[in-house]
Amino acid sequence: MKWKYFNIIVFPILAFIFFGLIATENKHVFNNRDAVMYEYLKNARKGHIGYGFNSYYGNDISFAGLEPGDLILGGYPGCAYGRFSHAGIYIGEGKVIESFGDLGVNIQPISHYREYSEVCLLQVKAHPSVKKKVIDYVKSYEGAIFYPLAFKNGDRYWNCTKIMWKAYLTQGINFDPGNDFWVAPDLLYKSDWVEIIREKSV
Amino acid sequence: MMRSIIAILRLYFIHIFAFFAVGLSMYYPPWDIVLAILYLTIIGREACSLRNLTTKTKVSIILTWQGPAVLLLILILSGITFLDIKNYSFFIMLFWYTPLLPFLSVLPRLVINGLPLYYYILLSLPFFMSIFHFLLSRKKKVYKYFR
Repeated sequence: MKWKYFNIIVFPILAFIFFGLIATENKHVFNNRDAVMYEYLKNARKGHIGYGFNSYYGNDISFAGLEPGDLILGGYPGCAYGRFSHAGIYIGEGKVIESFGDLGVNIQPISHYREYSEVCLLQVKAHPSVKKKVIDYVKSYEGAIFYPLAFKNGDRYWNCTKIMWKAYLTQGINFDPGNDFWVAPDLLYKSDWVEIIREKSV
Repeated sequence: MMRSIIAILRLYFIHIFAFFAVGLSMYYPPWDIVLAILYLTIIGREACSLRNLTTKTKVSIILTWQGPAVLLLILILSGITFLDIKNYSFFIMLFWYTPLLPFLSVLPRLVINGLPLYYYILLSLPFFMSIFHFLLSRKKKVYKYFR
């Protein structure tokens, strides 16, 4: 009979414990009003849920000037994470590595970024040899699982921004000096490590 | 009737709090795997407690419990692109099966027909979980551990 109660209470207790541990360890995130979680909540109150209104917006941005290892951001209207909802790393020959729900970490043609209403090309301020190592790192995770709320810790769950944040971190480049739980695409846009090549809004 | 309602409520209660607990434990790998094993054990124990119910009642409990996942599976397989229903359904299914995702995260990183292995496994989880629950709720001594 005792097991019947155990089955019911064990996960609420564990959830409480893990939440407490995370909150204690990350007071700086909870105290930072610009943290990603507060951005999510702020946008959710406006009715912006998930990655926004997916459609083909047909932006005509030029991809000229992108070097392998550079970043590309895309966004739909009504996105919960900010202006941009998605990110990928350019790997050359018209292809990007990115991470998405049903595809996991995968390689796609860069042309699919034409579907976004917001698009931006970012040049990472790093030597080409560093960028090559970053691409090799990301490629090694092709087929890995996507989880929208993947914490930065660990290397089993990925989302579109965590994979590039981690890949560049292995090379000493940190896109998130604020040490948030998550890396939002807008954080990459604001990083000192990047320079905007070109951006477009449709 | 009352017994099956309680059984369904218990399964939902366990599942929802396992979602929070396993989701948060992903911050401290490999605790997520430990909690996922605990989740399966508890679900197994819940199934074992239903052994004296009729097969019809057991099936109705399983269908109600796995109903949301089956509905999401239908939406994904339907390929409806209107309002991006197919993609959003997959996202919700990832969240729904958060208590089991640690097992999927340790799968080999294979890509089959352009889709990762975890995609196929995730879509088959409503069936795996239904079969798992049904087998353990049968009157068999072989599942003694879960009693």
